[in-house]
Amino acid sequence: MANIRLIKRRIKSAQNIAQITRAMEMVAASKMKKAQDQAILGKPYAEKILTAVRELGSHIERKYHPLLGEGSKEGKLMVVLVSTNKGLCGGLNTNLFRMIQSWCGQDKNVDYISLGKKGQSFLVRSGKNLLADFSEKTPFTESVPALTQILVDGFISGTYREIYIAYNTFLTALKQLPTKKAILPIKKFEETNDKEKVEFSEFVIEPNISDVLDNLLPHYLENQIRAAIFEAEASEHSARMIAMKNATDAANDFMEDLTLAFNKARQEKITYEIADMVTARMAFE
Amino acid sequence: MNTFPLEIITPERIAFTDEVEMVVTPTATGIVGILHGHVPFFSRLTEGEVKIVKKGEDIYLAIGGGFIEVTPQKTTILVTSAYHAEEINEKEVLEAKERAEAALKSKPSGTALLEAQALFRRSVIALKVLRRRRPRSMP
Repeated sequence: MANIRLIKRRIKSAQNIAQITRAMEMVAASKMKKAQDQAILGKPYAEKILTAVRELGSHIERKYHPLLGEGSKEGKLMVVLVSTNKGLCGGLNTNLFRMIQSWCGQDKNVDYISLGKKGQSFLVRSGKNLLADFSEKTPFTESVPALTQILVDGFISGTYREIYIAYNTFLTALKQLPTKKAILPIKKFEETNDKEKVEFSEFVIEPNISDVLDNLLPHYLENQIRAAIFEAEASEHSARMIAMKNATDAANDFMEDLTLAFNKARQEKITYEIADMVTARMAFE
Repeated sequence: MNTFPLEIITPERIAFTDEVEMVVTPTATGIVGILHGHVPFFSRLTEGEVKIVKKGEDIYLAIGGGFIEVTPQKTTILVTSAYHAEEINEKEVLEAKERAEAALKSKPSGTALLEAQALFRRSVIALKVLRRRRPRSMP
């Protein structure tokens, strides 16, 4: 019977899909672990650099350093959009894009830089001002120095008033939150305990404070961007893991339903055959 | 000899952490050696090699640019990259150096020139760190 063969084929293909999605789920899980580890390993560096910037920054008048300043009033907005290169990760990118759309979707005075092909195509599709795209180089952290250069130059020359980075924060493996974070101008740092402060004020700083700051601040920015990228990566993999798990579950459910249908059809066929035989025999007698 | 804790941190990992007797670093104003009880100090580091003296043994690391911070409690070196001699692959470094030399020969300009120069500097430093270790390992 053709129907039975058809159902059998569909069971087979559902089985294949479940197998593939399960494999993808596992790959995503291990990648997520790696991204998380990387983010954790980078933490000591990020913390150290933050304390250094905070302390040195408090020793110099803010207006004397272009990167610590306010930024020009007329400048545009700049958004760095960190998305993913590949799809199959549920609503991760869509949620991020929706946030961008509702936040500054109508504003024409915004420039964008994209990290991730999905973000790039979204920006192009919605007719946004795409300045540059760094999707090709993976991992994205490779292009951080170049990206920072663009941001710093744009900010100092007064083209940009504020610079944001938009990405998915990793809350738990089940939950990611689209976030926008201001990178420039550098906010006032919240006060820390006094003990640390005293230490830094006695420092011998070589060659001089502004030279050190000139080098330290871009470093600090790079680090912030890098942290955002790591976080986005962990989000991507966890979202993909969940999406693939759902797909596996759905495929298994589907398989169950199909198996039921298959068994019913098989039974029906047997019943018909028996009925046929019985009628044939009755015809003889 | 008095020792002090030293930490070398890069964005990827903590490259070194131990009690040491002395560390010599290439700062923006020249080579600076740090001993126990050094005055609090903050400086910019250039690419180069860091020498660490620990129990009379010398350890060399090739570092990228970064910063050094000396406090009475401990010394921290923040750099973009740091490699022990064991982690450097000589063949790769030599290849990189050749690439850089070839790139410099073709007289590039702008960022290409800067990139080639940086690659050349890095490979020279890496080789220097490697050579330092060599005599010790062979009797």
